[in-house]
Amino acid sequence: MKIIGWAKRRSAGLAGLVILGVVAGIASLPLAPYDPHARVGAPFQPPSGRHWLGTNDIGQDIFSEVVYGARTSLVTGVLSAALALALGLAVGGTAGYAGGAFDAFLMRTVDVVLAVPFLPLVIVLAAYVGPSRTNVILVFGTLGWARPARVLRSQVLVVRNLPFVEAARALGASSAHIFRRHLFPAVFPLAIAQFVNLASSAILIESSLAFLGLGDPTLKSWGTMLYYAYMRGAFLTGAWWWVVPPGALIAASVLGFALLGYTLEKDPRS
Amino acid sequence: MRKMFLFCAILALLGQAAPLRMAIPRSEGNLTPYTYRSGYPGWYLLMLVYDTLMLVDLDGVPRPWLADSVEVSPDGLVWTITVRPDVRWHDGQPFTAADVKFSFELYQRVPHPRFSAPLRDVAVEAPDDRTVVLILNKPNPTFDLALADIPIVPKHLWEEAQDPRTFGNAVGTGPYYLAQVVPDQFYRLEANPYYFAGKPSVSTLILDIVPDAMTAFSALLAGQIDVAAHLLPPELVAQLQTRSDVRVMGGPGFASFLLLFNHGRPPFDDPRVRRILAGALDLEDLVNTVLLGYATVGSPGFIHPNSPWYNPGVGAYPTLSVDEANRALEELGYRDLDGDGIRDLPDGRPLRFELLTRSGDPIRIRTAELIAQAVRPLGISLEVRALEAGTVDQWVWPDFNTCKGRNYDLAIWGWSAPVMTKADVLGLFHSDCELGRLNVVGYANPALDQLLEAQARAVSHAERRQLLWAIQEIVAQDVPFVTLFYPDLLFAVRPAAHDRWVFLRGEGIIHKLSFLK
Repeated sequence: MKIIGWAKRRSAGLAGLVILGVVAGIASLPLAPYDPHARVGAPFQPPSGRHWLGTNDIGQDIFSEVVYGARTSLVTGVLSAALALALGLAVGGTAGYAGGAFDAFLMRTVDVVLAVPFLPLVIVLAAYVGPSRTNVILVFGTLGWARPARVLRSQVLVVRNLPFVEAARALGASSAHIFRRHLFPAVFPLAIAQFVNLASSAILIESSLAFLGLGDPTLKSWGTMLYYAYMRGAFLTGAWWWVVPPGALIAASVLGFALLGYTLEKDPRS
Repeated sequence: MRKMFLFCAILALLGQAAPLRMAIPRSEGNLTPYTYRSGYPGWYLLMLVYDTLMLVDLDGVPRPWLADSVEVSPDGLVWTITVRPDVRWHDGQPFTAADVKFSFELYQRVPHPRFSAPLRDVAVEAPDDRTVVLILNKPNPTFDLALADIPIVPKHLWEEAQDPRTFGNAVGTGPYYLAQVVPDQFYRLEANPYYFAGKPSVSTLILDIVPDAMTAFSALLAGQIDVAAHLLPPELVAQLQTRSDVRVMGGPGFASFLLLFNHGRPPFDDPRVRRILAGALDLEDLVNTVLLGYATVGSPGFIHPNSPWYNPGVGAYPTLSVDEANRALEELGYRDLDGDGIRDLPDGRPLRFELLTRSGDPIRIRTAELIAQAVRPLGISLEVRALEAGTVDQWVWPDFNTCKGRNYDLAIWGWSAPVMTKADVLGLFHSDCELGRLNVVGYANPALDQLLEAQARAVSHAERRQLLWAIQEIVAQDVPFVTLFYPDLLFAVRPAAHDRWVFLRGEGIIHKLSFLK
């Protein structure tokens, strides 16, 4: 009974996990029947037994593209989120722990970064530094750290003033020790929730940039697939098999991360 | 939009013919010579309002238009033009030779990116109201094409213009006058009932600005527009052909797509290597895959088979099998020295290069991908690098000036139709960067240079053709770049709204002749 109650309270998070599991399954299983870069059929073929989702504008297998695209999207999402979270942890943690003018300075910087309109800036930066996955990750990392920094700082502030931490400090524990023993464990669950939220928006950003033609057009990703589908008339010719799978998978992985993040944020210990 | 709707409603009430609605990709200023922006379709729309002394007919030959007759002296230097006596400007003033003199001197005084160059060092005289005498300081075999390109503006309005570059009064002699401009939304053109070549067949023409091609074709399918100036992508042809209310029109286009080699970087300085690479590409397959067959395969002499200058003797690029190509590279000394599967230069540098292409254009990206795949079995690794168009232009053609060098290995490039129409081989191939303004590969062949200069001095078309044939043979041998293909020009129209579209060779259906009876 306890387990059912636990599951009920966290059904959103579980659903998120299941969705992500499916997406990760698509990405990791050796499902791709063809090399997604190889031309294996005539261009613009509808779905058939040989090509489950048809072929794209130069005769590459769309199903294989979807499978490889899952890898690209997940890897980009996780790496971008990791970079943004690392920066956020560093800034939030030091600001919250140090306090005073240093804290004020860092938090005003966070305000500035938060005030900047995110998507337009990402688009401008991506256009400026050029299309590559590394650049997308770097751009997301350097812009996405502000929100986690603010959230993590407030948690650090709470924990820093707890009696046992003050006691530890009074006993002469070093900052490094306090960070390691007391602050980090207290902040960690929250950081995981932030990470999940960041990954979800990173996947969305990566897809958006690729769709706008600002990603690496030779990389197989869901956004790139949608870019070619749009540019080569799939929306006019009704080639749903080219549009729906990558679109639905982007939506699914964002939803999966969002549900998980929501549950983790509400109750970090779940 | 609401205004337009109201306007349509009023027209319908008056019982007049409905306007023809055309989607155009971008704003074209005030449709005046200094404010229109694009070569296509901007210049062709400009030519609905303005006229030229000559007009290129459906066979691609320039014929007198505002001129009654054009006579050229035997040395090709003196052009005597008699203008038509029966032409009036849209405001009712008569058109005279003084307007021609004024217009040509305007383009000489106020530089224009398109109209000024052919008029450099041309003296213009207007001895009487109907005669213009143009004196060139050296023969120009394509000067008749220039006369068919340069719009004539009314002296009585333009001589008072403060700054011709921003002067927005679009009064011309053309078949349409500009009745209304709503910036960045639409233009309304009304037929000129007194047009000297007859009243146009469509009385009202509305040019709707629709930047995105897919949006334009959706609007066409929905019946919101009747024709799109946007070129129809090949992948939509099959879909549109099934519709009874939409017709697809098309024909060969003169825009060219090329694979550029930077001759400054080995091994691309060696014509034998360039020939092997050209031979290893299956251009037929490329056209069938990327453009679904709606293109003409590139001619090794660059000139389009439908051009009057084409030399049929150059044939096609030789085709090499992978084995033959590998053997040929082996013989030239490009071996895989370190066993990594990539051939190396004799000094050990691997044949690994970047293939540059524009990121906004899927046709070019796909072409680049297929080329990279095709040469990989030869032990040559090309990494496709798609960059924003401005960056690509800057690396390939810095400041549009070949004297500033070049900074790429290989690139997918394209020239627009005028390069083909004029057969601008001097610009494309001359080794001197002042003359070879379009020689973005850094090609140099002294024997060819002489022929190029000779054809630019040719007096007659026959003399020039003979030289151009010889030039095409040398180019086909040297392969300064690979001419990949010339995409067809495809258009979608609603024939119920207008059914007199004519396809102008290499240029399409959006032009003056489509609106004249």
